Amino acid sequence: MWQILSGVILGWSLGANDAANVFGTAVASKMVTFWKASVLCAMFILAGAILEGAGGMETYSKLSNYGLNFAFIISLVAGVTVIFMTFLHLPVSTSQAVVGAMLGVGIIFNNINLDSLLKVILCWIGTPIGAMFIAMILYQVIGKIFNVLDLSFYQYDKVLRFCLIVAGSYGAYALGANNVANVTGPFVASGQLSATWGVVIGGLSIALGVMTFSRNVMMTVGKGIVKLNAFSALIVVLAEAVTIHVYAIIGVPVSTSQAVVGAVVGIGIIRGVQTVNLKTLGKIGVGWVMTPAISFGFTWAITTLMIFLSILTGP
Amino acid sequence: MSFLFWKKTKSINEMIENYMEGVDHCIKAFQEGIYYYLEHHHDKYYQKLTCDAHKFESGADDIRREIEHKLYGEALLPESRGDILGMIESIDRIPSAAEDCLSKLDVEQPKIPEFMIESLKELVEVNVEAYFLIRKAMHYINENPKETLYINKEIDVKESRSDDLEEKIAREIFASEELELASKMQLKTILVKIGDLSDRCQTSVDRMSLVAIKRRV
Repeated sequence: MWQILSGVILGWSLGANDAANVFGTAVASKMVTFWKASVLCAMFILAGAILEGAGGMETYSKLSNYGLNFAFIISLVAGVTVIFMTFLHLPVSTSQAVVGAMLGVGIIFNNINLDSLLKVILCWIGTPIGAMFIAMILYQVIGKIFNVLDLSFYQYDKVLRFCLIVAGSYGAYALGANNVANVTGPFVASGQLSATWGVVIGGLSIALGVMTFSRNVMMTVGKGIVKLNAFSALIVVLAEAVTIHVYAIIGVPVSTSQAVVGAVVGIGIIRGVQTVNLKTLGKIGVGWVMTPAISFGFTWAITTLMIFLSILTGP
Repeated sequence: MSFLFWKKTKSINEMIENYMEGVDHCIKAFQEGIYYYLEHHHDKYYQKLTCDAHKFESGADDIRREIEHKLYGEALLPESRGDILGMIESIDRIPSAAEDCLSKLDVEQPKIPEFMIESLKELVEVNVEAYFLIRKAMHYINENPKETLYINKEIDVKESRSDDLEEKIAREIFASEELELASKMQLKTILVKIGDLSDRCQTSVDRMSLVAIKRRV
């Protein structure tokens, strides 16, 4: 069962990277210390994974079937792809890396469920678009509520900070519910782990990543989001959380980073300003195509090599 | 957790109130100082009033610096920190103008012609009133930011009145045949120094109005 370690490492890197999307704003602007944020984030990720993480596991189980060694390769290749794309400074989605890797194995064994694949791809397309529309609606609705409340300077500050922490906690819950399948999904799909153990081990490894290695990413991403202004930052975090929670209910792991970008674009449309430049959008497009393609290619090559070697060495 | 935030912002709020009290004293010393100069010219008591204004201005400055240092360690939104700093820094230019004006009279001790005295008193009064509207605006930023926009209009009226008075007095100065050109230039500078107060009040209230507007979505 040592093979599960590759999934745990993937979960750890996912926690280290994606916590920034939900608590980055609060930590970077010092409204909550890193330790308080990371404890809150870890708790809610674990709760989300345990309470609502099983849906994604089921989707991955339907997508393809394979043995434990291939589950190990899938997790390993997905992890390497995430590191490789990060090294190239391209936005990367762990979900896309995992699905690409699963398809790399599935295509060799002619074992891909096209209905599940179509559902996953539609959700990938729907993530930034959905987040954009949700952000536009939330901006209008919550904006009206804030205007009606007519808060004083300090009340506005206090209420907004409180909302950002609540939204961050909800985002962490949605992250756990949505992304836990990326961590242990391949092992559950291969029948080596039960769904219950899958969500517990997956949730714990994401939480570990948040607690041990997310501070720097939180500061970098958080400062970028804060530039929007505090109210818009709240809407971005909330829209991202709602979007990925919806996909967690549907049962498809999606990218939190892509949801954030969609929400930021939505804020830009409402406010009549360009919040994301074309170069950034281009990079996201390249990352969107390259991530599953690279993990698919690597897994396909490794799996082919393994089969070739097993034929050479004989039974 | 939210209770902790409240405690911290409350202490910043108290410090701002202390700062504004310091500025109030400085502006009152300015008004008393100019009135005294106009009636009694320069003497020891005038020097004491100048000294008082300087002490109040410098005391307020210390509180402003303390607020700046405290703000960076506080649990406030970054934009709120920036707004508080921006508002205080712009308000801080008002007592500086008042202190400059008193100090100019202390150093140069110009003779004020009789025909200017009442108009100058009125000019001082309008400028001091502009400052006390800033005081009100600062209160409303904390209580009901929308009201700041109405105060902006009131300060605009005071600032225009101050400009009109400055122009009227300047015309009288330059029309005078008793005064030499050097005296005329010196008196004109004092007029401008007094008028600086309402100009700076206008800049401050514009900054406050932006803070209020920014909080409407």
